[in-house]
Amino acid sequence: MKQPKNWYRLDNAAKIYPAVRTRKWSGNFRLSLNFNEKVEPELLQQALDDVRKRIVNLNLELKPGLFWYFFEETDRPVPIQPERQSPCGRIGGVDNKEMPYRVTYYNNRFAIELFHALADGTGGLIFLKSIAARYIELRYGEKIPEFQDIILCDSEYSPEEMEDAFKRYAKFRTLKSRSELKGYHFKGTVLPSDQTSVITGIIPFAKLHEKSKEYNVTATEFIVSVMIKAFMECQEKSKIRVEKPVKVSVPVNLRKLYPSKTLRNFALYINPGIEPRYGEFTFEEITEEVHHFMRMNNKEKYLNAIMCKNLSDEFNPIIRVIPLFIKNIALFTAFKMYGETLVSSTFSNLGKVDLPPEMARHIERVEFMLGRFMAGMPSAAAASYNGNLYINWTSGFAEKDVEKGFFTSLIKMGIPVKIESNLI
Amino acid sequence: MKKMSYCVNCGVELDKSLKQCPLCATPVINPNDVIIEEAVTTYPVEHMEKIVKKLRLISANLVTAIFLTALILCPLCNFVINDTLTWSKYVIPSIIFAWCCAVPPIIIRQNGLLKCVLIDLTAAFFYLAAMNMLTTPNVNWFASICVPVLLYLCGSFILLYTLSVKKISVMYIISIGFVLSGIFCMMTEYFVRKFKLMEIEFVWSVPVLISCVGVAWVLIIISRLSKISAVRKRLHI
Repeated sequence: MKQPKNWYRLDNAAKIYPAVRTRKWSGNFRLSLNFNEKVEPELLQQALDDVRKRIVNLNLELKPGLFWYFFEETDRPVPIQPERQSPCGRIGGVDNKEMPYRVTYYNNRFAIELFHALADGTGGLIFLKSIAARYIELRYGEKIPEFQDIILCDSEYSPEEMEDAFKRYAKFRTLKSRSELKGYHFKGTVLPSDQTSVITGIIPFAKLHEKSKEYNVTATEFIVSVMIKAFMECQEKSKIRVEKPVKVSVPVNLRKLYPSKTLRNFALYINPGIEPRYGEFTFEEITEEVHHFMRMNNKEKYLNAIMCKNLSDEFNPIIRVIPLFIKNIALFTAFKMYGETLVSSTFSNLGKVDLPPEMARHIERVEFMLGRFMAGMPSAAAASYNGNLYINWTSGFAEKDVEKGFFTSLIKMGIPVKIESNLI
Repeated sequence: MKKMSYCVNCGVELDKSLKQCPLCATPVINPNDVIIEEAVTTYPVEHMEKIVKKLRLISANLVTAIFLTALILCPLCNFVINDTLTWSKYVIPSIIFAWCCAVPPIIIRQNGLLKCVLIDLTAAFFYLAAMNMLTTPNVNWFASICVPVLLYLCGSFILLYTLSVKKISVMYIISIGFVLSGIFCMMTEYFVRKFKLMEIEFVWSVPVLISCVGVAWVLIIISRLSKISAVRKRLHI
């Protein structure tokens, strides 16, 4: 008799992504890794196939139910693909018969591009490192030891990897309102929705760290402040009549607050920003605002209340019984009204990527990149490895005013920046 | 070994593969780079033009195949049924003319409009000559009417195209187009009457010419007005 396939409910954060996909766009992100030598596609395919036998997430396909989407286990092959000039393009065919992720390669680099419904950045990084570990084993014959969160092919599966951590840790003491003012949006010439411009800035982390210490803030807070400054300059130049708040959404990894080992979504957002209507802010004042806002809101109790508010919508009996196609329309409308409009941009920092020496000697760099926003607003993601911070700006606009403002501010502060791009 | 390049405008260091600064589009010129070498790009470069060119060739071949099928089948059917070529001899030049109109726009990209229209006019020239020979070999309406009309059309188009290339205002070009159309009508009437050995006078073409000149005049006034309003904007009290 045919075994029924395992299936999983989408976690709370994942529920929005399938509903807001369009024919050319889906909410994605990408993690990539550069080896010292050219990637061998056959071995990479072998490594992916081996890792898929161990990591359940990489065997899931998205399916629509009557009321919600769900993930179902599948043994559908996932052929690796050559990289495209516009990375992080829509994932899943128009008929949704593709897996919610893809693995690509180009020269020394291989990348995993994930549909956000499947995992968050931390989960994605574990997939990336696990595939890289298996690839190194196959390519160089080195045995990779157990190291932090890397999943080795012969390790034991823990059901915790697939848990919906939101549901597990929500306390339902109180719900925190999500009401916020709409943020400033950069305007420009919009590229077609399947095109993304990528500008990578390579920054010596020590210099950045030193500078952020001068302002008594963390590296993330410092970068967010520079981003806010760049957006504020663009808003001033645009001469709009009523200035809007400039806010940058910063994902917070909840695994640091709760001992979860989930490989699925487990992050929330806090949106530090500046309200220009109060007057002009110096850079010191921006860093102070960002620093205190982050410290104030990045607390377990507040984040739990936001988590509970999100879950309360999902648990609402009326919402639950609405058929999926109506839910999709409602979610798409809500996303258009509130999803991307509240903030000016996003900055996601994966932090320092640690690898065991057996892997580190073959790996030159690790990068993190967000897919473009549906409306095209420039957003940034960063990861640091081997003494460098790789910050990737992705945008759906032809104009590069924000990115230019950001990088030139760093240069003016004495932080050297090296630029790479897919815009030749 | 290629030296590091910096953007003179932004101050950022640029990857070797970049030909211009992605932030401000300032071209990269490194005087120390004597040997120009192609650096490995950070992302794969997709040559869309090649794919599009290939697609265009495929479409052109497909269209040609369709026309070719008609070109073979028509005389064949005609010959099988009537034992001689009757109606199909008119079809053959028509198919060739249609092919000349359909295929060049698919293939030609550079100065496409100019080339395609000139090809179309040339094809029309030969098509009409052939039809004249096939239908009424004794009456030479082709030389009397078609040749001057086609030459005029050809000259008018080249004039309008040259004006558009020289970035003359669109309104002016449209105005000239109207005037040329009016003259075209007069010319047609003249040659038709001459061919029919009628008295040379302009009956229907004069009102057309007057209307065309009127429209052209209004268009020129409109385009002037916009300039006047621009002046008024700057000088208003």
